[in-house]
Amino acid sequence: MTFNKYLIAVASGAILSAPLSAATIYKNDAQEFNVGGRVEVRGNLTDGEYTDKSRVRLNVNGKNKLNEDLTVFGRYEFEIKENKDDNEANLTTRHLYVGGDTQFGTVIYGHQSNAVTYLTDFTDVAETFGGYINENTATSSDRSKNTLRYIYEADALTFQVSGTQNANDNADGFGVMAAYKISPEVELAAGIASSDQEYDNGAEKRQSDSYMIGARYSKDNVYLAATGMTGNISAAGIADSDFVAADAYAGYYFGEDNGNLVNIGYSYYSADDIASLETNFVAVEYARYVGNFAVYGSYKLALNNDMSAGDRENELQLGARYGF
Amino acid sequence: MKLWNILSIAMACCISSQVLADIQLTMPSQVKLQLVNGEKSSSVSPLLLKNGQNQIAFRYQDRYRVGGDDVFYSSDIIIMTFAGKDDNYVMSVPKLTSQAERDAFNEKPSISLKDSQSQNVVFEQGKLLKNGMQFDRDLVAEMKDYNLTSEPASLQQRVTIITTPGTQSEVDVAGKMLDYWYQKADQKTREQFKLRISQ
Repeated sequence: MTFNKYLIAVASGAILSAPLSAATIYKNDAQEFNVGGRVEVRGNLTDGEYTDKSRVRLNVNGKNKLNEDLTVFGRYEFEIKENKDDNEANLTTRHLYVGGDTQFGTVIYGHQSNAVTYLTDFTDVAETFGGYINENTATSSDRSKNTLRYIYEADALTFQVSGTQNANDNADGFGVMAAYKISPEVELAAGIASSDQEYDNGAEKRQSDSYMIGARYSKDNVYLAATGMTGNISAAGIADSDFVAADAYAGYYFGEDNGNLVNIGYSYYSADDIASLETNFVAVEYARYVGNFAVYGSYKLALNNDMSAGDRENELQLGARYGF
Repeated sequence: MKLWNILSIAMACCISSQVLADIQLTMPSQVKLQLVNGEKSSSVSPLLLKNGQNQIAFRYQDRYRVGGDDVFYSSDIIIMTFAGKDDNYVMSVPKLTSQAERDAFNEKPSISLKDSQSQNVVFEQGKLLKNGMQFDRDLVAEMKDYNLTSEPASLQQRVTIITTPGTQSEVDVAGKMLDYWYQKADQKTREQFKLRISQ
């Protein structure tokens, strides 16, 4: 090392990083027990009306290596939100499952991700606005209960299949998804989800099918993703309405520890006969991550026919979160 | 004699760190230092180390956005022991894009260490593990115990000092320092210095 380089090294100073921690409570050669969660305060401004959307999540999870061929694991996570008009809180389950991991793949049963969630997560990255278009049926949504899922991963390939029985709205259905990394940076995916579920408080039971594709690119500080979806969707009094949907996301990380994120997203959903599902907006966001802390601001610009927060309503949301 | 002493002290003050810290180790942001040569350390990059054998312990930590959720990944504590001299070393770790990759990394960390010539540097690695409750770990004591074992990254093991071509010796550095301060000195000091060393 030359003297000049040494001076530069000293002058450039230490790059100090804030600690980032997850909470592992207990661990030995065979077992592990973790606790995680978040406390997140959020304020939303829509059409001049302020709404608090703060929430708390807590999860416990663990795994146990029974032998060289089988590791079992389980997880429970719930979310709490305060009621709008009193101090009571509403608790909802997000995860409740047990699974086993073998060299032939992973099997999980319970309240968990669907098979196609791997694909729809490509564009579900923003803190606030985005990742909605898959939420209209039980088996295409981010999570569903009473779901048996099989996952097989080998090098560049990820394959998942899931089946659901008697979930919310008495939903029965399935999902299949395959994803392939054509390079370390680019991953392509395709999937199908079908859900036969009740509408109009159980007065009707109708089937909806979704066919979807997705692609994502990740290199250095850039993340780009897009998902497209088509099929038929049902609603109270409406069966098999054709729909098309798309989600796009572009994010750029910069600064110390890549702790700054700017992103832009676009969401679109249009069904022939169901106006209430119309989604059409552009969203921009800035988020700052420091260790386990995050603070962010998100703005949604509603375009023609957007009903994601009322009739073409723009939204501003600010939030701060401590997670572990 | 007096001038030489002053000059020596001045040089010692300015370059003592250079003599004691001749290795510069640059690490990616995901690498969070826990211990450096058996002592607690916060994450600093570049890290300045003394010539010879060094042992660092760190975790690979990162945050990922998955399905609108934060995933906080923290690997087991990884120990790296290597020897070097008067060079800039760069550690690199892979980008972990999926839970499968994160699990695989934790099982078998893939780390590379290169010198300023981009040549691979030989190092030993291990893990600092504790069975049981993970609160209030005494990493300093754990590392002392680890270094009494015959694990690959233990200081009990002999680590070969890798000297890459073009690496400067201490004599080279001392010569450069003399040149540096001679150029900085005024004419009167230079004359006195020349008179002193000619005696």
